[in-house]
Amino acid sequence: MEPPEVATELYVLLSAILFILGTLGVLLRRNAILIFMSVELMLNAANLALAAFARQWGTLDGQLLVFFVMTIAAAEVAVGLALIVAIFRTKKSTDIDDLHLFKN
Amino acid sequence: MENFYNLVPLIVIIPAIGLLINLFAGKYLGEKGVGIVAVGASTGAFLVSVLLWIALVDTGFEAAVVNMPLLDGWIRIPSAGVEIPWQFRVDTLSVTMMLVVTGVGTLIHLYAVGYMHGDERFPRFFVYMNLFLVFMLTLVSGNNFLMMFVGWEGVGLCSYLLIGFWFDKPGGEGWRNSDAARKAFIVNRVGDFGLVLGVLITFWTFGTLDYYRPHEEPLHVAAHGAEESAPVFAPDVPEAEAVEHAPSGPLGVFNQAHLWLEEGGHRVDFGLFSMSFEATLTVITLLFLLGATGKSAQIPLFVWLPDAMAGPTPVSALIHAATMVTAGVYMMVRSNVFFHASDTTSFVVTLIGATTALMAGFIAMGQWDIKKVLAYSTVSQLGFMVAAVGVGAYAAAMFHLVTHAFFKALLFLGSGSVIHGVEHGHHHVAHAHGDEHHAEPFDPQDIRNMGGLRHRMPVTYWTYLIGMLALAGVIPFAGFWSKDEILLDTLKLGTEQGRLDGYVGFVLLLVAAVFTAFYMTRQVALVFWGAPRTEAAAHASESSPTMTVPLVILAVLSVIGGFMNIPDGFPVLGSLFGVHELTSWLEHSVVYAHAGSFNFLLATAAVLLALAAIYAGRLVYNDRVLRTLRLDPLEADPRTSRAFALANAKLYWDEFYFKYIVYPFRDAAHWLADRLDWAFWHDFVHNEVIYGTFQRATRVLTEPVDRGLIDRAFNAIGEAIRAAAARLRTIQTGYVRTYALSVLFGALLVMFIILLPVIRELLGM
Amino acid sequence: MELTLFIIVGAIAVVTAVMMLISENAVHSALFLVLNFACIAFFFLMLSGAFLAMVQITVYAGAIMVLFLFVIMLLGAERLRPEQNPRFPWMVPAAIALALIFLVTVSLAIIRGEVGASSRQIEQPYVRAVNAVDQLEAVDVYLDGALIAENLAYGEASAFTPWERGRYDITLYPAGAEEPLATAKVDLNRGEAISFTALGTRADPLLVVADEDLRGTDRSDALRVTVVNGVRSVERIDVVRGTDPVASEILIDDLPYGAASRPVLITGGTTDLSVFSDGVRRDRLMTFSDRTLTPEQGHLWVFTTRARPDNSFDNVFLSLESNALPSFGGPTSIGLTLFARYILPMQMVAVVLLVAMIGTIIFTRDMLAPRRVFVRRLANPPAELQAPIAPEAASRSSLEG
Repeated sequence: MEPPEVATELYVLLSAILFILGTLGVLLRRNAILIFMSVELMLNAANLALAAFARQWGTLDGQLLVFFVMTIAAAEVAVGLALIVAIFRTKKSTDIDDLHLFKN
Repeated sequence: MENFYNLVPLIVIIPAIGLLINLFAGKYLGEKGVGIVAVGASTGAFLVSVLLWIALVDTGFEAAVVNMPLLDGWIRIPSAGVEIPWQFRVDTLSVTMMLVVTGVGTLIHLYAVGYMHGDERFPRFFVYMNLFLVFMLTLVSGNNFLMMFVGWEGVGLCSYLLIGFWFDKPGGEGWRNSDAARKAFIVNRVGDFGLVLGVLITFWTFGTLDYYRPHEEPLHVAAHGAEESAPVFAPDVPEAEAVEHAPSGPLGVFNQAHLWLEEGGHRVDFGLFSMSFEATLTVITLLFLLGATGKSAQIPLFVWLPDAMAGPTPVSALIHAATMVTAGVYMMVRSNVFFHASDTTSFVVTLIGATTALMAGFIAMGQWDIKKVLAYSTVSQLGFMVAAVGVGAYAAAMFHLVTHAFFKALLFLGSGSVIHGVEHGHHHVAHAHGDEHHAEPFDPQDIRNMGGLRHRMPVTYWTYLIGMLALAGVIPFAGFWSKDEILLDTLKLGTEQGRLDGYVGFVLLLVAAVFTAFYMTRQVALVFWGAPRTEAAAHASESSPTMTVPLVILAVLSVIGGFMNIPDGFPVLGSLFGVHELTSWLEHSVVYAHAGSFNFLLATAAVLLALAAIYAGRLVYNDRVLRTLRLDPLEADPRTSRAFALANAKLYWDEFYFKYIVYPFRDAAHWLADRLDWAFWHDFVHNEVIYGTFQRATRVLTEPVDRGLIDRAFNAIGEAIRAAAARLRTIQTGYVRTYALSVLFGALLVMFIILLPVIRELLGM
Repeated sequence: MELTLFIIVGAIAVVTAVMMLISENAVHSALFLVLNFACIAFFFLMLSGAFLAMVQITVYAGAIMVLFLFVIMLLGAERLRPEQNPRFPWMVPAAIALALIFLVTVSLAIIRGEVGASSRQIEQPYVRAVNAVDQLEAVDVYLDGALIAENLAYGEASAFTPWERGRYDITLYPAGAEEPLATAKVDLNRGEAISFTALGTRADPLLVVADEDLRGTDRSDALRVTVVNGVRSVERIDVVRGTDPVASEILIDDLPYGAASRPVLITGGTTDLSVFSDGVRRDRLMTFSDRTLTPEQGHLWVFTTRARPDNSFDNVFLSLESNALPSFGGPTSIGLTLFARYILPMQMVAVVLLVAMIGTIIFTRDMLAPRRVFVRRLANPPAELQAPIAPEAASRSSLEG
């Protein structure tokens, strides 16, 4: 088999960049919905790496893992958005810094 | 038809299923449902027995050994070479017992449905009854002594449970019932101790407990008859060929015993000492005999059986007359190879059996309780069977066992019917006269309270009469044939071998037979003849069909049951029904079974003596005496009053046991409890030594060690942690984003650790 | 070409991710994220995950992002408040520092580590054996001493078995015999489906290596056929559709005895098949009428003869049909793996989805029904409850307590 034109390393590097961008979103943004979107971005970055390794190893396991991650992500989004909606009703805000309950 | 053999586990499983159904669902089934389940289970077992019978006839009486499913590796200790499989043995002897147990058992179950009607623990009664069938059938169908022992103990348990079934009757009667149950259980322990020892010695001697291994046939004696005792192989096989066919590999105990006896000179090593094989067999059989005296109520352990009549009457009929008490006889017939080999044991067995027969017959003449009379009669008849085993008449013993099961079950069920009828009459009278009648103590089992019942209870009367004639040994009823065979075999032991025990046994048994006819006449006269002596008897009524139908069936069996084993040379009947059918049937499994011949002189004499006793009984208990019965005529007559008093007091057996065994034992136990247990163990060892030492030690440990050292150390640790936590707490801000940053930091740390080799390589380290 | 595409699309992905991060409007962020997801779907395509790409578009870019937009619009949260007096001013530099460290670490791992260094061959070769030896009822076939078919009856084929690549010796034995009947050499390469076809007679056996092509085809009405010529009486054969030597469609042309044709793609359907001798005189050797050719399968056809006891011959046509192998990353292969090896994780995921559904319902149920305020009522009890407890009641309760 001839080596693929785009090496696996490039995919992994791209995946890392997207992942860290998602991480920055989680850390720096305060809007809960945006944080959620950033988490989705991180998941997609991981998916990309998985698919790349699946091609490299010639087995389908990586792709199946991507499939499962997508499914779980869908469940997570449904529950997470429901939580955001529920919180919004009481706090009238989607800012996660408003969520803290600890008294100093 | 051979496939029928494989059904034999069902004979235990079907009653077990019945009892489980009644145990768990009995409450919801109602009396009718419980009765159907219990009788159905018993009938199912009976049908299996019949199928096994057919299979045996069809295969030419070839015995079979069948493994119990799931339990065939019952006891297996490979390192010790012990392997006792849960195996059933289907041979003519076990099938005979199965047929008796399940056949009579089914009739009694049916009867009990009527008898126990209205009892508050109706389902429990039938659970116990089915449990009894399970154990009894385990006892008779096992292929090794251990299975027999399991059944043996199991039926003892059921006997205990059922004797004490009415443990909560008011007015002290409940205590009497439970005392009777305990007595039966404890007395039987003495006998079981003998049996256990016997079984253990058997195992030590033979290395196995199997009667016969699978595919092993009993080695037969050459010709039937006590005088030809040298065991050789089956007569139709030439000697040389027979040796080739001799079973190879380890043998079952009986064939092994056969071979060792034939070789002679075999010794059994018991570690500290060794004994000749013949002496070992004597020890084993004497221990077995001890077991049999317990279970089959022989001197000296018979005292529990009369008391056992405290149980419900169907129990008395099934367990304490027809089946369980014959287990001892079955066990001895099963071990006939052992018993035949030991003259000493045979002598003891004959004497014990004959003495018991005579003594119990004597006591029966002085009893007032209708069931006690029958109980002593049972002891007496069991004595006949044991004596038959003693003189080597194993077939006769089994024959008497079967016929006795028929007519004694009949008599017990009849007495139950009478008691039921009289109680019914008593209630009727009490209702008519208001409540004050209830206050008077009234014993429905006392035959002084009866009389003239033949008009009130005709079915019970006629069946009872048949049972009485069968028991008394009047030709052609069943009892005549079996008793005559025993008497003749006993006499022949004396005349043909010149053995003293033959003569003594014959005389004792003959007198016992006369007693039998007399006390049965007395009982029938007091219960049924003459005029009613109480209002209860006058208002007694016939029992329901569920009770009378079994009576009629058993009566028919009591009439024709003897025809199964008609002796050689009996005119007419022999050609009609075949000659000694039962013996030829049993010969296939009982090596030393031999057919009885017919002695016209002896038979005539026996029948004439029985008739004379009946006539004498009728003379003593004539209608004039029966009308106003104050005292028994024997008691009133100064010539016999002392003897009657002795009989009435049961020859003071119980008092003897209490004075010389029970009380000394109790005193010893008291002494041990006070001195050894309380004073020494409790006060001194436990309180002073252990508790005191411990207390002093703990006092030392508590103050300086625990409080001073350990507590302080832990408090210091706690303080340190609290101080550290106060600082660390500030990290916990409550803001999600700071947590996320920490997670990222942690993840990077992990990555660093993983990549450490790469980094070190890069930095050239 | 591929690399260029990768760089362009990768750049789009990074740019959209950054735009999503810094966008002031949540709706814009969501739309950038959709674009980013589309890029990732494109990468899935490049990584031969066609099915994943479709799922990525429909589920992620479609369903999930619609959900996001719905919630944003429902809550009216599209305008994000600007970050005034940030609570953690050190957060931004710390996060960026950690991100840079992460990137450096990953790059290190990629450069110095083992990523992409080793790769295993995709798609193993598959082998099987076919017995068409006249006068031989059953054969055993070994590949370098390893058994691949045992006691194989005449006219039967063993199942395809995956095998390691490499050069092998095939040996043919009469069933159970010690002495080999024939041997041959074969190279097994990636993606091949090899049928070792034993031909000829017992006295003169021949092993033919037929390389079938079991990959799926683009046409749903077509199938691939590989033909093995076992007709000993003539030199070469033609296989045609129909019976007419002139007008028929020639499927296989000029196939010598003991050779296997290359796989050819033919149209399926019910048809007559004839075998002609090739050459000057075109003699019709055999005709087989009304054969059903199932599309989307791979067929191995063996034409041979079999001697009768009276020295005449029977024409034999063995048609061995196999289903096409599923392609890597296609829906079939994913589905097969999913429902074979991954059935338990699949069930677990299903449970997770169910729990998520229930959780969503529970979290949002309060929105539909007005909330009861018991707590408040107890915190401010009405006047009659605030009255002091009567003395007798107090004493009774103290007795009971």
